[in-house]
Amino acid sequence: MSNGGSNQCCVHNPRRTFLADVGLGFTGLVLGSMLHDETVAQAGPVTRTLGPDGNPHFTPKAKRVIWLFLAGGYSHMETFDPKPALNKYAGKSFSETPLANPLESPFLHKRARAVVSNAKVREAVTSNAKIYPMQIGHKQYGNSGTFVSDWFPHLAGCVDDISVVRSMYTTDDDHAAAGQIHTGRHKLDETQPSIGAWAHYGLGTLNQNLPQFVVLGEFRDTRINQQFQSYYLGPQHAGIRLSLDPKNPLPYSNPGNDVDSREQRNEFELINQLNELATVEYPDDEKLRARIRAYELAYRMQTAVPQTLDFGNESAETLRLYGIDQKVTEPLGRTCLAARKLSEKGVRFVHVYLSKYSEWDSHSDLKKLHSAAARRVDQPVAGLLQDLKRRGMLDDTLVVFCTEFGRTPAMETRNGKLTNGRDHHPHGFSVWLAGGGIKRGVVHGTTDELGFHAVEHPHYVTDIHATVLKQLGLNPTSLDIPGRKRLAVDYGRPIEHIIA
Amino acid sequence: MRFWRAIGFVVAMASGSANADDTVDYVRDIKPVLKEHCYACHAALKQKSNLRLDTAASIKKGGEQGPALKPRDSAASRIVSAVTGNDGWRMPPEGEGTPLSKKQIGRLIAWIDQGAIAPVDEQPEPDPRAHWAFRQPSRPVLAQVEGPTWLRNPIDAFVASQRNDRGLASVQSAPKNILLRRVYLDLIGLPPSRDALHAFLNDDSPDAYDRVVDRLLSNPQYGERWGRHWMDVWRYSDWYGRRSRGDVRNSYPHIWRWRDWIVHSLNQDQSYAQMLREMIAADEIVPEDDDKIVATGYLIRSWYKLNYNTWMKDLVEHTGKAFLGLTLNCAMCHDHKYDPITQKEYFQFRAFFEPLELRQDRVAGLPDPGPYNGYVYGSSMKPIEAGLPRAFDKNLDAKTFMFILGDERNRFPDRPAVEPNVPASLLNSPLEIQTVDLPAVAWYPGVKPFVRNETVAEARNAIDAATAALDRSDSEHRLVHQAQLKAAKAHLRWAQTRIAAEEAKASGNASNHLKTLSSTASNAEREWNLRVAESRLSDDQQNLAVAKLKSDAKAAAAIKNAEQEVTKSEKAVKAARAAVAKESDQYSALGPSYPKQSTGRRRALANWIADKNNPLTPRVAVNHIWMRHFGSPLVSTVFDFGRNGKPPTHPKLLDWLAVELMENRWSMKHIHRLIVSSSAYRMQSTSSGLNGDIAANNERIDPENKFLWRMNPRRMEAEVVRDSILHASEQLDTTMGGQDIEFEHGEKVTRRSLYFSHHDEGRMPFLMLFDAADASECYQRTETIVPQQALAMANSTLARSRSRLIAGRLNQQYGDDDSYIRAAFEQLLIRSPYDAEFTACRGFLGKQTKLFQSEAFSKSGAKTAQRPSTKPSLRARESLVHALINHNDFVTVR
Repeated sequence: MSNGGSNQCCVHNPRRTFLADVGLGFTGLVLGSMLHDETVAQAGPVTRTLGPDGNPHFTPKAKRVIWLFLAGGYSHMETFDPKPALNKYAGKSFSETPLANPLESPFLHKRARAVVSNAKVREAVTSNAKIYPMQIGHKQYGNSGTFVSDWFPHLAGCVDDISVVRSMYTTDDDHAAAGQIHTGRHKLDETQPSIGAWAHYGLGTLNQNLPQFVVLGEFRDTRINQQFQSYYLGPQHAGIRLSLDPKNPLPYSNPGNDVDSREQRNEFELINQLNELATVEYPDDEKLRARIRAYELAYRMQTAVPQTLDFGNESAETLRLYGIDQKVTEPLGRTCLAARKLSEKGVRFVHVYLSKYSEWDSHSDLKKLHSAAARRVDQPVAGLLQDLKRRGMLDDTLVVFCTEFGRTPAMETRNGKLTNGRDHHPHGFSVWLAGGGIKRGVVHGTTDELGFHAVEHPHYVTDIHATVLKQLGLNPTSLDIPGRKRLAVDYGRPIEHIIA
Repeated sequence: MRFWRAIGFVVAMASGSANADDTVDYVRDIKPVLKEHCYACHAALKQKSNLRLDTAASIKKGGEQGPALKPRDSAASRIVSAVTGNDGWRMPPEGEGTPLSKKQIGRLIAWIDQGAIAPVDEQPEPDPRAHWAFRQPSRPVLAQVEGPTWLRNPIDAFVASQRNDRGLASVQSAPKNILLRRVYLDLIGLPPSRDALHAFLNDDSPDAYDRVVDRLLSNPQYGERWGRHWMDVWRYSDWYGRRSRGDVRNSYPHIWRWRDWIVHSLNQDQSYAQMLREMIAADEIVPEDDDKIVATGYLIRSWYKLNYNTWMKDLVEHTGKAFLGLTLNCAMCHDHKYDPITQKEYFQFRAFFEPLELRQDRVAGLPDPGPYNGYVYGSSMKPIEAGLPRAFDKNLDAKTFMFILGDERNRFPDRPAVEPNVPASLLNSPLEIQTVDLPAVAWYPGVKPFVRNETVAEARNAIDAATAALDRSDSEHRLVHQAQLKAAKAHLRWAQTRIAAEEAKASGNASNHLKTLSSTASNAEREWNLRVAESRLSDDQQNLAVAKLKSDAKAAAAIKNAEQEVTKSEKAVKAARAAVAKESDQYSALGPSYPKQSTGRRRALANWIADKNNPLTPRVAVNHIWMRHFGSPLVSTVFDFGRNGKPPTHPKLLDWLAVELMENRWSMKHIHRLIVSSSAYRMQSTSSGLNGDIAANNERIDPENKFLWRMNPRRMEAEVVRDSILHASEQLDTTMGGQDIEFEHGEKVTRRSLYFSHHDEGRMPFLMLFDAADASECYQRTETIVPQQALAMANSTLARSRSRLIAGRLNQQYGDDDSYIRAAFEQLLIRSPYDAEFTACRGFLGKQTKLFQSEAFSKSGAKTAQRPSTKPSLRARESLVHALINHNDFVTVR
């Protein structure tokens, strides 16, 4: 070596010298052109050292999931499960109606479990509570005749494509239920991975250039992170938050505006070149190979993610479909359109934190809050369904629309004062699913006449997980990790009645 | 619809499995199924209905209800009707285990119908108490192996023996530079500087390496490095709940005092046993020593404001996992399925913690946080500004009741409260619970000298201020200031008399003297209240006078308002004067008081865990230490040494290390030194250099390197990645300890990573990408390789701006490209470049320089912390450094 000094740090490696001498090419990587046009990878085995092989356990009906979560707990009565009895008996206590008194149902204690020890019982579920009439009208729509409240004129047009489940229940009567519908466990129980993490863990990639479990939505409350955590499945299976800003959508996806793209490409080439050289020194180091691959993917991801989130190639008509042309619907319209674009390019699980809990958590002034919140989501979500459908994506894209719990049939009181709102209600609530092998135009399950308890075909929240995993071709018990005990309730049971 | 419950099922399956080709093998097909589903109740651990299912013979023999199996007649075999539920009840019962699958039942039936053949020498499960980890470790005899060059200490004998038994050949020692970097990263979490590298390479003395090890172990950065490891195991978490709203729910503000105690204790080489004692029970063991009581942060970390059942549950679970390698948590809902721990014993373990409560003590020189008043339903709890969060026994007669299926809503109605105790079959040494009489400073922190001193000093300062104000006062305000000075003087007298009375009370002199002192203090307090009221009246009168000087539209209202205030204050003065006239010995204390005793339950538990006769504690500890040196543990289930855990790869080595730890006063530095001095530790991490056939043989026999024929290459932990970048740029701020820094500042503030906030609600994003500990549970880090890590290294401000700094510094010393390239490799990768790397880097510098010389680059350079150089050649060098930070070798411990 001519460059001076003794090379005393290293054991001289003749193989390395040999390769350099013969000029083994470093041109194997042409990074600039690596963004795949063919976005959906070919089906086939995925190389993994541990855990599932990335293939479904049986033929899937859905390839990908868009999970829309509306935090705060929308009222089931004023969305998809209208209850005329509320108007009829408005102002009466439960025992004053000729209907079965929900407070005497065994479900009441079975399904409610407070996080706070010795928590006060919510007054709206006591015998003092007064039934609160429906705050909005409702009509039947479509061939299916599904009831939808007048606050959702756009979604009303989609009912023939969806299955409404009116008999959901959960066990936490406070907002930790928002974590529960994603992890399946009550706040006081051992935490479990979220549904998106299980899907990500079980299945291989649809597009090498994009993260496979993505989280959209605006929030600052860090507790919401629980909804897409992976816990013992490992951090690589947690949801990755993307921002809608195409300039910097992914954490660390932008080197800063003082770095030129050519400068960076040269750097990636050198990094790759040096790491390839290291494989000569460490031929048996699989981690080194994995890192080389990670750098290739990173470089492509850095380009692919902003490209995917670029709305520039969307027509004005599409933007209108999502309500992006109107101020009130623009924010969630953008979010829903981004969800479609990511799904289209092969993101396996798009988790959308669609509306903030302050929007639906209508302890008072329900009419005002719910109508405003509904206006913000109605057209964007309807637009998403229509867009998926016309692109032929709805057949293999499963859309879930859900919240953490419903709202009480009785009016909430605070310190004896009436609020014109409804309190949290875990005993019965509604969600809907569409696409990905879900029946079209179905209404499944019922709550009692007052909308209190899920009585017919009751479903705990993990039944949604079981349904999602089944449509993805996964058997949840086969995904178990040794040493991590899961209970039957964690797996749930698929909601067979709504599966086509 | 579970159709196998239908009556015809057994017949259908039986005929289906009558296929002659389908021979069922008991050991392969039946025994593992029975073990998984039935052994918990019908084998060594328990023999419900007097039935054991752990050998074919005992199945045939059956239990109270007669034989469980009739060969060649599955339809008449009880075991079949039990697992199918055909007789109306199913095994395992609901909630006690998962039913057998159809396939498993089919095989069972076929096995019976084929004659229920099993090996004749089949042995029943051994007694659970004979499980290896429940037996006392003793120092094993060293194996006679290999030559003296390999055997540096007994570790090598055990490792070599296991390797020889399997025909594995060891690789050679790692080159000096790699070894140096490895031991630096392992012991202090930072790579060596170039100076340290050159010094070591040039030191040919035989003890050169040992001196490096000694130096590193006495470097305070050792405590930070290993502190972070133990923070994983002990679940360190800063407070959380609703941080975005400032609402404390879990852990507690200022718990960093516990973190600092960990770092300090490690640096002092505090005994492991004493550390765990202090974490569990410092308030009972050293109740007068606040420097050690901060260790009870271990208990406070699991505190959960909304529900103390969760606090208790987490303490049982993680005390079991962290110190004992026991999954006690599995026995919360039912008796343990694998280990001899009953549900009752679970709750007995909980009873050690039942009396606990949180408190926040005042710290010298800092504002008084006031007493902790508990959770007020529905309200937020703002983080305290200062203070020492700690545990104490509040409810000395707290009862622990058992819950049905572990659910706090369902207490067993007919069972009495349980007493604190450890699982009976693990009770190798007696458990002695003795009530602790606490010193006054513990139950009444107001008597701590600093509280007195600060109280008096504050009062004196107030007098000085009031005197100065009076001196400066104009005639108009003289009365006001005179009143303030009087109040300040009364305050000092109150402070002094109160302290005198409090001291007398704390010393236990219940006498007439105390009564006199109390009366004096009481008088002084009431006097002070009067002076304060008078001072306020004086203020109000002054305000009234000022209000009367004005005559604008608002004046009338202002005068009326001021008059009302004067009237109010006059009333207050009157009331205060009446109070002064009364006789009393009641006065306000110097802060809250707590029970004068502690139950001693936790002290007993801590002593039992740390007892030299506890077989689990030292094994679990050395396994954690070993794992963090070798990248893989000796017992792979690091928190489960029970019967469902994995056996050690090197049982003798584990026991030898456990005994060595105990016999060397539980010194962790002693174990570190032994490990890093061993030949096993010094091996290279690659098979290169081995003869090809030998290497292939090793790979075939032991591809996972369980038996240590080479070192395991590892990715640095998250904190080491970040700290190493800062260290390489000579920007690492080595200030130790103190309040946690919000992790949002992690790319700008250059303190070591362990000092940033870390909790269940969030972690520094950069660290999270590199698998930082999950604050809720992390007994072992995961090691992933994902593209987001590459993006963080390539695009973070941290990596980019530090690269520019490093480049700038090296550029001043090295003019020509080759010496620059060499220096950069040494600085970042702790090695020189190979020829091929030189070639690549030279080409790169040329290419980048040319690029930066082009017209387009004259304008670039935005406002960032560290701008790129405007000089093309230097900018190319910055770019090179940045690429080297992204080199796999930078994040890899070879």
